[in-house]
Amino acid sequence: MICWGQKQQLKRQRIKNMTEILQCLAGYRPTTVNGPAQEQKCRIVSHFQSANLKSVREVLSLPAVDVQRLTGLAHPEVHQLLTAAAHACRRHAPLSVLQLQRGECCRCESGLRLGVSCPVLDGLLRGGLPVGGITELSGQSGAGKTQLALQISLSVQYPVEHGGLGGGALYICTEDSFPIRRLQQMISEQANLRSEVPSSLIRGLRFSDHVYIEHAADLDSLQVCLSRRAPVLLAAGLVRLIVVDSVAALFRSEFQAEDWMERNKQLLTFSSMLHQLSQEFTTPVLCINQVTDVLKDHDSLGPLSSSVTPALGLAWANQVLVRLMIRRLQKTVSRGDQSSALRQLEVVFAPHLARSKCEVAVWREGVRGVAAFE
Amino acid sequence: MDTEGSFVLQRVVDIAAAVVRHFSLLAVDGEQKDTMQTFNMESILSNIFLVRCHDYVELQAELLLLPDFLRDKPRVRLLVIDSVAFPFRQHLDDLSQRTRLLQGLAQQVISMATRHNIAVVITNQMTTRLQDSQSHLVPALGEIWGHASTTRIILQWEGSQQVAAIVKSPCCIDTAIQYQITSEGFRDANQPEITLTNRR
Repeated sequence: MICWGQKQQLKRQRIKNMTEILQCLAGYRPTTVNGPAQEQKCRIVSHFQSANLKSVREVLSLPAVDVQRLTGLAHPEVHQLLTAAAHACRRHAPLSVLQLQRGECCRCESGLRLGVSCPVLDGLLRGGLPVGGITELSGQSGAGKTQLALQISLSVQYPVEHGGLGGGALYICTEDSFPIRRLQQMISEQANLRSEVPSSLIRGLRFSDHVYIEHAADLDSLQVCLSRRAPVLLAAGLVRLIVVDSVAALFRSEFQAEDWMERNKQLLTFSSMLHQLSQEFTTPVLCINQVTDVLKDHDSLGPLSSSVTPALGLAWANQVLVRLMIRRLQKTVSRGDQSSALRQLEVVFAPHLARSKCEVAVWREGVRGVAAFE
Repeated sequence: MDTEGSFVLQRVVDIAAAVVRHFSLLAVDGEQKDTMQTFNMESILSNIFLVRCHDYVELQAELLLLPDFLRDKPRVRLLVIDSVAFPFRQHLDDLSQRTRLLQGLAQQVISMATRHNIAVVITNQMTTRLQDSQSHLVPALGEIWGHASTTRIILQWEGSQQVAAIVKSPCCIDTAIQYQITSEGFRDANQPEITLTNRR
């Protein structure tokens, strides 16, 4: 696990300034067409300085014609400058899928998953939640979303060989208060839920110490949480899961119907912050969402198995990697002295999963898949 | 070039395995069977290259470095950008800058396609546009981006069917067909070709 100090150092290296661009240029072979090498390099450097471009990212953010206009350089020289900047900006060269499969790059797509403490559900998800990207869980009130989110906040704390990620969870509540008693009940029943894990290991995990609860009642405090508190916890390796319960609450209340453009802009800012955190720290993000009724003539995002659809529309749907929906069924199931209303957990879309469903029940020890069908 | 993080190893392996199976079944004569000796999972997976771009700056950087890559690996004949919409819809408040960047990107990609003789497939998201107080699903990134591609195919749900429609092409008339996605990838749906009705 890289420590905070090392991450800061890496960050500084990535923020290239003008000095480093000029150093990059110095390492480049000049074109043979225009005169002596050194003279040409000096020219590029002085033109570049006069353009007042400070960082590599700034140079690459402009269309090439703009860079040409600002620096007054000829086209091949601008190309040289941009290529040098591109090399500085690049994190690593393209890798073949075979290399990825062999684990030659831990930061890239490695197939690592966060298990959810149930073999049936892990089977539905082909391993669990992907570690780079947003998994969304939506459903009506009482369907069991928070139950599953709490369970995953505990499963992340197990070591990798038991489906976890060896870190805690950052649980951001935006509406109700955090269900602390239910979490404590689930903690006390972990040995029951995870009977395949040695009980000595379970006893050694201090679950409640590693669930970091934050309350964010509005967008501003959510922004503060994600931009200041979250990176510290993630960089220190204390947290390997971010839960937002729920996203809809914040974005539905703060905007009127006509403000949908402003709302979408805020949604994009929020989701890009989540993506950045998820990518930089290879940490899965679980967002809980509410549902709205499907309007007539609603542009279909897929065959509808119910009359409700996740809230926040297409703008939010485009930010989500894995979309899951959970809803209560009319049936119940019993086991010993407990009974539970049956739910259906459905994979609505995911790049690697078929549209599939399974039934789940909510017990004292947590959420368990009952049977897989289809 | 993956901008959304949706390139999942498991899925690539699934589809590669399906392709190998499919062609093994098709190989009939000696020459084809010989080809199958070298057309296996390892060769397929070693010839798909992934680069992850986290924002439009990284995408620009990778496109600038692509000609070198193509020169190093002349057997690479397909470029996929999935998706172009994702990085350009974030952190870019200045719409005119976005338009110019997209135009530059389109020019770069077209010139690379011609010079290195490669095919280019770019995916885009859909967005809602309000017109006459009704909302329509249209491709994202606006009208100007619409000019960038030579061929445009729209994938949509119509009820419970998935439909692929050609809406722009230099050589094909506008048609639509049904398809389905199985564990092996894109396949025909079990329906005959349907004619284009009332699109947009």
